[in-house]
Amino acid sequence: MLLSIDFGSDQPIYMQIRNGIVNGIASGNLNDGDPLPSVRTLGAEIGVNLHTVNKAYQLLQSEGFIEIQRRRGTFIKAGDAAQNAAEFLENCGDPLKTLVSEAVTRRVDRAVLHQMIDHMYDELEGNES
Amino acid sequence: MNENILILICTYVLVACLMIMQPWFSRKNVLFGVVFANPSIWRDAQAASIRRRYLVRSAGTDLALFVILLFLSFILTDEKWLFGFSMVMLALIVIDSFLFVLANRQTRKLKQSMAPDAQLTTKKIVVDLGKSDRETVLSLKWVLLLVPVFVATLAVVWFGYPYMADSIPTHFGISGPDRWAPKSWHTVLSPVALELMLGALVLFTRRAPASVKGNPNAAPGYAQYRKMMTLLLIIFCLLSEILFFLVVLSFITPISPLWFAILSLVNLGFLITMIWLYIRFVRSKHVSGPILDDDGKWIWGIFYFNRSDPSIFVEKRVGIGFTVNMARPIAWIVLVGIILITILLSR
Repeated sequence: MLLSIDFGSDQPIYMQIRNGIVNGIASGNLNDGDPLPSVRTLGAEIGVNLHTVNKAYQLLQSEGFIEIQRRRGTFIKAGDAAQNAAEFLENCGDPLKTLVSEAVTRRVDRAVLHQMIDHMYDELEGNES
Repeated sequence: MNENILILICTYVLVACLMIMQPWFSRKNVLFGVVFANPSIWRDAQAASIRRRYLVRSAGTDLALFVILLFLSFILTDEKWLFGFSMVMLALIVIDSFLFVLANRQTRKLKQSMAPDAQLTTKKIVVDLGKSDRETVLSLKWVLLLVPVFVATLAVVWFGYPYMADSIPTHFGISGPDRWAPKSWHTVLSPVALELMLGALVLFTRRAPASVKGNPNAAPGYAQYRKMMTLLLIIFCLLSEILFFLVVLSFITPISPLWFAILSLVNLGFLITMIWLYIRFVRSKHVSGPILDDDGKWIWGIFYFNRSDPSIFVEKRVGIGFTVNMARPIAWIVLVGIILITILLSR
């Protein structure tokens, strides 16, 4: 699975790593039990501070997407994240509201936004199957 | 001409050839430390002209120095010739490095004069998350192979010190020891210190990233190459350890010089294996996709200085092996440590 990092982006690099891995899980490119490179190796590959990668991994672990085993390494563990769906829905309300507000302000048709979300779901679930 | 002078002249020829061949010890999209997206730069007429100029200048210089070296061997005593040899070697490295820097500047100008390549980026990097450390980094268990001989050497030094002769051999030629020093802890511990230094180098280079980045095809097969290089380095260290063990043992009981000759020749074989590995797994690979334009991080195309890269050692951009990331304080400690140990041991 390929992870793309944009050094010129406004989004912090640790968030780009986090989002890339979540995207990989959603699209089925990363599955339960798949190993991830160590913090040291990924930091060296991207050319970023170890704290940046560590921050992304810690965040992913706290969200239940990965498991960090002290001696064995880091593994995908998306099962835990699936159990936290209710918590996710509670937390995603605010960013989703901001997005919808902006769409309304820009007079984006409700159906178009719905269609976009459906299309993304189809694309990710299609990849997974 | 004695045997030692002959060995040193052979060393000069070997180093001179490696210096002249430098431009060929890089990926085909790297020219004098300057990275391009397309490997076709290697066939570019202007690039070939820069390469040819470097080849003629460095070969001319090295040949002139070689003649001086031979001339000195006829007019100087062996001891004075040794000093002359050190000066000629220094001149060889300084002049050839200067010629390389000159070629690096010309290549940079050539790159600036070319139309911007969309595949050359400063902002984006793509990495493969699908590979775990087990697949890309040689296991630490292999490094443990070095421990038994190290412990054995240390034990022989520690327990055998009272039984050692008052004069300790410090230099070995093909026919056995040819230089001696009075017995001291400093003299007998030198081989142990060298073993420790080699072992530490293996540990540091295990994870050294490729010198060209951008996407997994920017350095195809690099992980496999690095694993093999680390393994080769471990075998080299192990044989060197055995050599040092024999050296220490020879302080107590005489060892047949044949062993030193065999092990030295095997170590020379490693140099050839390293060159073969490089040609097979780096030079011949086809580079494709977006490439990270990080020329700014490579001073003169030789020294790597990148504050945001956590790596202490990285693959050399030009040449076989690894170099330090000068932006990391620990790299300076390692570098100064190696130089200090070398100076202390040569005294």
